[in-house]
Amino acid sequence: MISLLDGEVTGALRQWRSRNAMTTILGSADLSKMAREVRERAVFSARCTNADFLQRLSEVVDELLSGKTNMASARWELMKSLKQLGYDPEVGFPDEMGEVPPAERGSLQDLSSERRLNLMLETNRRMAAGFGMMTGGNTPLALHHFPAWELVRLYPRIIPRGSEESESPGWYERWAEAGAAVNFEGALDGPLMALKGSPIWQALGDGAGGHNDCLNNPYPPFAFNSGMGWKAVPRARAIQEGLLHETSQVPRALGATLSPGRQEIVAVFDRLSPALRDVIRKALP
Amino acid sequence: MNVGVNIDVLENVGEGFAELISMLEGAGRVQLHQAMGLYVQQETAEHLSDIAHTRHATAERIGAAPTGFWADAAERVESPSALSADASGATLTIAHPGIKRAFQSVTIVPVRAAALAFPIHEIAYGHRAAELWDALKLFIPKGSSIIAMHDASGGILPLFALCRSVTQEQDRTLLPSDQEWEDAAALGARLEIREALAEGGRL
Repeated sequence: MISLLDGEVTGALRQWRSRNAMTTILGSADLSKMAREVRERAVFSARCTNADFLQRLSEVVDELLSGKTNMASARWELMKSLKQLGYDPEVGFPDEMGEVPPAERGSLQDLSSERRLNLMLETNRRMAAGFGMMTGGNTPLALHHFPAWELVRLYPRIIPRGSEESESPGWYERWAEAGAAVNFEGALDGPLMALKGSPIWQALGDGAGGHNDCLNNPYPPFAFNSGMGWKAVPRARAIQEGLLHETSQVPRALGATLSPGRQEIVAVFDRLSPALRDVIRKALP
Repeated sequence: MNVGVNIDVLENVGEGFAELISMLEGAGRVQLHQAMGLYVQQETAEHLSDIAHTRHATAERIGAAPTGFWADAAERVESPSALSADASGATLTIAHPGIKRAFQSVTIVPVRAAALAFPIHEIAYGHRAAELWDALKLFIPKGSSIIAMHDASGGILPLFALCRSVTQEQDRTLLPSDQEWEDAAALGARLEIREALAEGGRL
């Protein structure tokens, strides 16, 4: 029996709760150079040195991941927090003593601007979700049945990368650059599809080709403000597209490497009548 | 509170498969439930992803940019512990504010406020009135049930409509149909059995 529930806790949330708030005066380009292991354990935002605010950011992202709040309410909570902490974009937080350069009001550098709040919330929330997808998608069973990812547009954007108005390279171009950097190992040259273990995902996240808007993760989002995400590719399609060969399904020596689950399935199959075993063989997808 | 649906695949999985599944008791049963859950999970994620591309009715009506509400739901469905499985079945948990409406009508009432504020202008879409209150010098015109701002010519520009509560009717199409879920689960079961038999040298 399969149950589908409207519930509370997700894997992304578990990963998020293992994080620590981390203050920094670094900009986003500097942050992207930090070791991934450090960033995966930290809640941070470029040019933010106030631990109280980062703690609040951490709590609000936690609520977002739990489905307890929405973006507008999360943004409002952070705006209230900044106000309580005395943040002013031109001078920063009261105790900063000029550590962070002044920001133009309403700009992306202004922590209280809508654009910046959206970026902080979206980036942190989607990084947690992307990490969760990577973890869940790499269990042995998931890897077997859905061995590849396809990079697809998930979030709508008014001006997507690659459009004429964006004046920036699109994802097909970035894919080609990332693919060239890893010789398209486990990846298709054209369609944005690759095996889950392909190095192209890290290359994409590292901004292969010289892009400095990346988050250095092998999972989405691969760049700030990106609306692209992963779609799991079923095994049959991965074979059809040439990412896997039929030979990867060659039967192994009898029972040699079967998981306990598959051992039981085979054992039960052997107990069925020959007629029923034939019915199953003929009806297999 | 959790709400949801249960899907039983035995009737849908096909002759022979149902007998085999019924005879499984231990690790094989868990493994099969995991595989069935995986396909249900992917079916659900793809459904929500499609909705994310097609359902922008409110945003389009008032000329605003979509907020990515349903894309967010699609990503949540693929979270690892959204799916759990044991010998009794598999459970897919969807933690998203919009999903409950697939199972039942939802009445929204104000919390810590006298009324709900619904965006009716692109400036307001995706925002709480409180966020914009100071910056846009919002006000409630006397005797009205709107929140407004002054436009460039000094006229009143309504941004939000106020109401005591709103009921969103159940919309089952927000998630795959029971049949689509059953088909996905049955496909997962048949494919996992095929892989087990291939690996075990029975094909």
